[in-house]
Amino acid sequence: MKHQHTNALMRIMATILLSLLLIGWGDSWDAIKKGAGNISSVEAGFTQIKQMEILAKPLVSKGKLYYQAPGSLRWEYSSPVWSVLLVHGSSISRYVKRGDAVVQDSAARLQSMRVVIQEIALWMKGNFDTNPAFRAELKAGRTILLTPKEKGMSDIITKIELKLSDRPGVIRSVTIYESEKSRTVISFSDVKLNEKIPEAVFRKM
Amino acid sequence: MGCNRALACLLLPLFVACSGIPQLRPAPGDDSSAHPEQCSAPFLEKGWRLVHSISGSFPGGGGTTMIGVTEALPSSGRLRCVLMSVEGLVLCDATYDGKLVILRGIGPFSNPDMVMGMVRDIRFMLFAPAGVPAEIGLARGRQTCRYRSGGDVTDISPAPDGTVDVVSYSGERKSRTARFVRIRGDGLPGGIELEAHGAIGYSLLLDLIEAEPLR
Repeated sequence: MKHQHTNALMRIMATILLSLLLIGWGDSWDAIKKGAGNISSVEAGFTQIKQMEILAKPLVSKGKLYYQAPGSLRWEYSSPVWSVLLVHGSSISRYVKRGDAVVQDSAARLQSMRVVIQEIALWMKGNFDTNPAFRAELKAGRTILLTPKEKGMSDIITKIELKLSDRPGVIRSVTIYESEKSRTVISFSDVKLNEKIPEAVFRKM
Repeated sequence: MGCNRALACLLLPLFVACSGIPQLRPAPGDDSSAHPEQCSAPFLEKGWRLVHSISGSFPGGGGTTMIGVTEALPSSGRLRCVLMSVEGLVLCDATYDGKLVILRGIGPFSNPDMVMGMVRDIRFMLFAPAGVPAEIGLARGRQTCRYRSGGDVTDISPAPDGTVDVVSYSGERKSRTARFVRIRGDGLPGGIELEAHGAIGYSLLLDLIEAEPLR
């Protein structure tokens, strides 16, 4: 049971990360796949806004994302809690702040991040609508709607909505709905495509 | 005899570690130790909504960081607590008002025993022990107020540097230690260091991100 939940969480993580990386766009899946195939790197700032019933005002997190094909990733939060996920080759590590010290996150949890990376590699080839966990629909108004295929997943996330920006190749926001009253909106800014990112970005804190 | 001595040497650290509840001694020539306000701790006095970053470390070196949101009403003891990943995924959403209700629980947080343990930790850190101190005196050189409830004991000991230690004992065994640090102008601790003792020990470091009084 616990393993199933871990897999479900990893698939959700993968889908969220993919959503951030699915930056080629168009009016059809073919156009999106074609665009995705041209992306070799992404660098962007992000603002994550968590809205839920218990919060009187949303909880705002900020950070930066770097991706380099075929499988290097840096997903870094700068506030309110610093943390960084680093993926490079076969190495996956995550660092978090504990008091004034920076410590490495639990290794057992990170091993399951390999699932994320494998799925991202698949999707970066343009196979987005073959995601085994979510059904993808291309909606009007440059919106992609992802809905879970299985109940185990829909218990955790009800849907994910991607809004494409006016600028070809850029996602404006990703909204992850956990329930009617709980959702996370991630918006992107200063997106740079296909620029060279130093390897150290994916290896060092 | 030699074997017994070796065994005693091996077990000594264990006995020291489990040495139980320290004896309280009166402060020499100072009857001010009879004033419980001298061992006040930054427990909640009214309802608050608190957002913390929570860093946990576990036996064997593993650890992780999450974000916790707590709505707490000390007048009734009612709690609502949400635990989410840094990415915003809610892993646990539960209320406690004399009875635990899990509104959302993923993985281990679907287990009521696990969530009840979390609620107990939150209550220990946020709510003052019930009643008045049963004893007041010095323990390990520090002013200490001792509360008793059934077989459980809670000691509150402020330190000269402004931090406050709260230690709970279940029977004779130390169960939880909380250290409140960086006490703010509104009386809330900017940080709480929690240590759970016992066979499955762990430690948590809570840093206050946001606080808002409940209306």
